[in-house]
Amino acid sequence: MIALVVGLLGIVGAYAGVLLGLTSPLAPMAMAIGSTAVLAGIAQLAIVRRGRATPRLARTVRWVFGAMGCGFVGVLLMPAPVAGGPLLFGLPRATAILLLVTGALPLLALPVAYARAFDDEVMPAPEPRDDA
Amino acid sequence: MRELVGLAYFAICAAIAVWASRRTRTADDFFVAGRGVGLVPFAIAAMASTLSGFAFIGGTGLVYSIGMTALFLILPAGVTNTLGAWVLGKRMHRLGSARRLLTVPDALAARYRSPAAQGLSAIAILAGVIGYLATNALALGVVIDALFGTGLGPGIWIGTAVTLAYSVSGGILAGIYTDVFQGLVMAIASTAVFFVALEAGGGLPAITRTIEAADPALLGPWGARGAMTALSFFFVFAVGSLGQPQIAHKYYMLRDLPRLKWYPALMTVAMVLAQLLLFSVGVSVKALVLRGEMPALASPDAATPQFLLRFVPVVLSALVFAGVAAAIMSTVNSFLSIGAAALTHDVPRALGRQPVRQLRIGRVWTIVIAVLAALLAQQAGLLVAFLGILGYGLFASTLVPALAIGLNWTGATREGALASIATGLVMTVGLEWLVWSTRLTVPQGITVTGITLVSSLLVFLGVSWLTRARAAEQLDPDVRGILEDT
Repeated sequence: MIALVVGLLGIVGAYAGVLLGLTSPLAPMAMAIGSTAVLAGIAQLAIVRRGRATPRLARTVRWVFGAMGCGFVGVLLMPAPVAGGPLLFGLPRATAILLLVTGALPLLALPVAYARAFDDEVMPAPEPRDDA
Repeated sequence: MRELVGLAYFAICAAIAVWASRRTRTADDFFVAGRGVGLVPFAIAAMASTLSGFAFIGGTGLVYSIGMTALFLILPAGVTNTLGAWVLGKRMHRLGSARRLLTVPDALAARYRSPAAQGLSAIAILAGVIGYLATNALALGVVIDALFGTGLGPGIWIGTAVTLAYSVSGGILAGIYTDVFQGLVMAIASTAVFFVALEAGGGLPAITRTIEAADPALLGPWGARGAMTALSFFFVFAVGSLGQPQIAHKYYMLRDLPRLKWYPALMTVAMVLAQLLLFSVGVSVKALVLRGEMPALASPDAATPQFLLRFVPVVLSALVFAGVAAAIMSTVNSFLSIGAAALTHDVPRALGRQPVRQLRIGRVWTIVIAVLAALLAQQAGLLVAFLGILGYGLFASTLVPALAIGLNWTGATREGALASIATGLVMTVGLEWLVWSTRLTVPQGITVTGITLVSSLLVFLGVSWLTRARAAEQLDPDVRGILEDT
């Protein structure tokens, strides 16, 4: 819940910066961190079981959304692309890195993590047996 | 040849519809496919109803004109395919099975013990559905005109009539199985054109070099519109996807919960294949135009049609036209079902009446909504443009807080849900109208849906916190059990 609220406030800050006409690079930075935090916050809420986050999926949330946030911020800090610069997979290097970290990584990691944790952490817990 | 492939496509859709309509005997069959859909049809149908004609026409045009910025509309798919199952799938399925729910507003009524939440969300869904349907009816008219030369007006009515035929007779059950065929057509067409497009452009490195010589920002990480716009798109399409009723509603239809295990993986594969065309044709056409190997486009939306006419074998181009029709028709069927369910089921329940003869009345409302959308679509370019913008934003801002957060947080309250749905509804319609009528200008980097989505989320959290003392008493024990996963 904290990640969700902090993320939303980050987005509000980013939008306020644009509306006020501020050209600070902090606005996209706040937008990147805010968006990732909101997604991580919602994902975290959904893996709470009887008041506690399920361990494997919680790790997935931390790693995948952490990497996405770092990917966005890292590419924001990279210099603007120029013609004739190095290519990676046929695209400008910064573009390829961004697509790999914020597109391909969650695309591959999240469905696999979900399937692997499904039986233990997603399926409802069995009814407690009353042997008395 | 194109006409033959087009006719074959419509004939197969009709055959599937006849088969499915024979199995439609109850309201459960009509609105939730008898709760008996297997994993593969479920995943492919979800993909087909998520993607509209935008994936083949509008999206390609956007990549052509703003480059990588447009990719942030589909980049969230890496997250959303799994997040949907993760956040909504299990709880919607369990709630639907336990309470025999038919609609998304049903889930809100059960969650908050609130007919008002059901009614208000049904109104928001109806407004969004009409908007989506009008734009898709118009797009279908364009495709039918291109395939058979009917003219736009008759094309809209023919497309509406074909989609109506199976939507009325077989409801969502016919929709699911035609979606499977349509989803396969979309994925095959998109994958085949992906390779043709890259080859026509001389390979991705050559395409990149051509484009960056003219404008290095276009294929830079954020595209021509810059980081703020790209990240705004990412936020809106990642978080907003959790409020799309055509997907949330489908979780009721899954035969049993264990089938959800591989749904994100399968849905991801299907989505990636179906969206390959969007990027490859957009950048290839840009490079070809810059090199003078293709004439400049009259409008960005001409990127796909012009590329198909000049570079793609006629059979494959016919398949793509069928793919566009498939994308549109599968979306239309889903929205017709949701809209008819809102009028047949949710509005009477919100008014305290028990819905009766839902199968028959649902069919009547399906016809009424489709005809209304087709009439609106005839106003091409004016009202339709406004309605088209409304749909996604309305669903996102009215349903994400109350549904996606509310089903995962026992601290949410009825007051918070009602306030957020009302905020999303009023702000989306109001702001979109002001922007569309040029009375308000939103600076580059901000989207109206972004503003309304953040606002309704904050209102939901704030009002729920202020009324937190009532949260526990508003939860029925069985619903609490599903939310807490016990």
